[in-house]
Amino acid sequence: MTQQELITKINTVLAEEFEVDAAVMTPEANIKQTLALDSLSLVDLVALIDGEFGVKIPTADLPQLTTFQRLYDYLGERAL
Amino acid sequence: MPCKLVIIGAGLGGLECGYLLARRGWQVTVLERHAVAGGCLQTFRRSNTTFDTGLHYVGGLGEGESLHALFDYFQLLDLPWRPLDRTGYDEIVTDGRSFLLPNGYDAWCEHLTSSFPHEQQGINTLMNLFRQTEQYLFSFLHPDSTEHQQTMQLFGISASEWLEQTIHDPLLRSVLSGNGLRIGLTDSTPLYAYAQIQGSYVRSAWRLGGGGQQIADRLVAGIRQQGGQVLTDVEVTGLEETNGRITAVKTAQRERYEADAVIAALHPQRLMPMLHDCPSVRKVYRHRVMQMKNTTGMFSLHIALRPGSLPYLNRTVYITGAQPLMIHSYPDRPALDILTPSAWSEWEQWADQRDEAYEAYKQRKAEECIRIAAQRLPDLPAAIEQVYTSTPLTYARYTGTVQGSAYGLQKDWHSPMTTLLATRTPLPNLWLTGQNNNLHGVLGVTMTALQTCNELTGESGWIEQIIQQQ
Repeated sequence: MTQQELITKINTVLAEEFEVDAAVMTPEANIKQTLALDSLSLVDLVALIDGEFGVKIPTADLPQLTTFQRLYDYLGERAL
Repeated sequence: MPCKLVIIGAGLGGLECGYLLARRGWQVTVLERHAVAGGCLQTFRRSNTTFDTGLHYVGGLGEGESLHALFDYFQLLDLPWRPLDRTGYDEIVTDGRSFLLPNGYDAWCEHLTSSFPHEQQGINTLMNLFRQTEQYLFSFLHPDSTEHQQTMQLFGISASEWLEQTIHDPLLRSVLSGNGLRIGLTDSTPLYAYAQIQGSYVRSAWRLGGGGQQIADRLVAGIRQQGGQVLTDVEVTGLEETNGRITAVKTAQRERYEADAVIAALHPQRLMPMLHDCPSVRKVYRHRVMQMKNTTGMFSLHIALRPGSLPYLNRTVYITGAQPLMIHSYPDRPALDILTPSAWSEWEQWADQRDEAYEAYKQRKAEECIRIAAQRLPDLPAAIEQVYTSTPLTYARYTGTVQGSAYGLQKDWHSPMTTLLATRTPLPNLWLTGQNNNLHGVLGVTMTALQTCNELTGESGWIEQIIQQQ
């Protein structure tokens, strides 16, 4: 999967599951605000990423994933 | 005007929440789809004998122990509880030998050390873990405390691996995991589950003469005494959301129960379809819950014995092996249960229709279990009057657990974050409770009931007062 294909898949999955418009998911947008994440839905995000991409995000890594670009880069290094 | 609380499901968790909050002045309505309240506490009758579906024995009920003050508050202490043999509440039959586990932390340590003196350090380490877990049992009331942080860390450690690192003698490990059937011990089981549940039985172990239904009946009576309702044969089909909050619960009978708050005490995977019209519950949450794994089920033999044919065994016997067994005697009648783990997949083909092949398969499996049990109880085969069996299909039908799982959703130490389902939900006035959240078992479900009520009321002082009565 190319980086662009990965980004497209990430955006598609997040938009569908979190019921947001993919257009607002720009690289520099804040994930927490865009997806309306609280501590409960943060767990949903972690579970979704694990299920769709096979990547388990440790709790310690979560604070660094502030923007969508950071999430793309993080998964780009680890996704199957 | 008292606030209206609707509870979906009248199992132990739902009834305990109902009782706690009814006494706090909430107007409680419990809705149960089955004809009888009780969930996994239910009993049933065959051959003029009452058998339990899910309750076998309870730990930590003695004075000063984990459950004592709570069960006093629930008005359950004067039920006919019978202590198991303190010199050996559990008997583990492994590698052709029999090991007893006595009650009392010191006695337990001394007894095991006498058989395994080279493992004294490991046994003491395990005992310290049991003590600490008991001491921090209510730390969830203070989620920012060091005690709670330490407790949560135990959810991220493998029980099996920890035992391997702490106990080097494989025979002793076999003894210490031999009764793991009661916690559904697998490679996924977190250390916390092992520590909390196993530790509680070290303190004391009790059977309930007359069966678990009495617990349900007492809690129901208690709820009604406080002006609440417990309604059976009522099937909830949906929850109504208005302006981001649940406002009512709808039933198959086309009734509508208004609610200021709802506690869902049923399996979360049965709740998710009921939230289909709730916009606050996004797909990501529903899908996550639906994809969570369940623990294995059980194949159970409920055996009516010829009166006087087999002496009562005042301990629970576990036989390890490829088909591990748990053998439970009833204290007040000639009856015996044998349980062995059994996955839904073993029975799935008969989910929609039972046929002769199903009956034949159950029969063969029952005969195998009896053969294994007879290694310890050689008089058992001749003592049998009648055998009744239940499978995960049976359990799913009567208790509502998904895939007939014995212990609800599987907690996995590899990912505690995603396998420990919070009692909080995306809706601010909808909570979960029951065995699927933190831990199963009477102790686990009771702790979760307290957690749910703590979060719902937003205050813990009244819960601390109840606990401190011990």
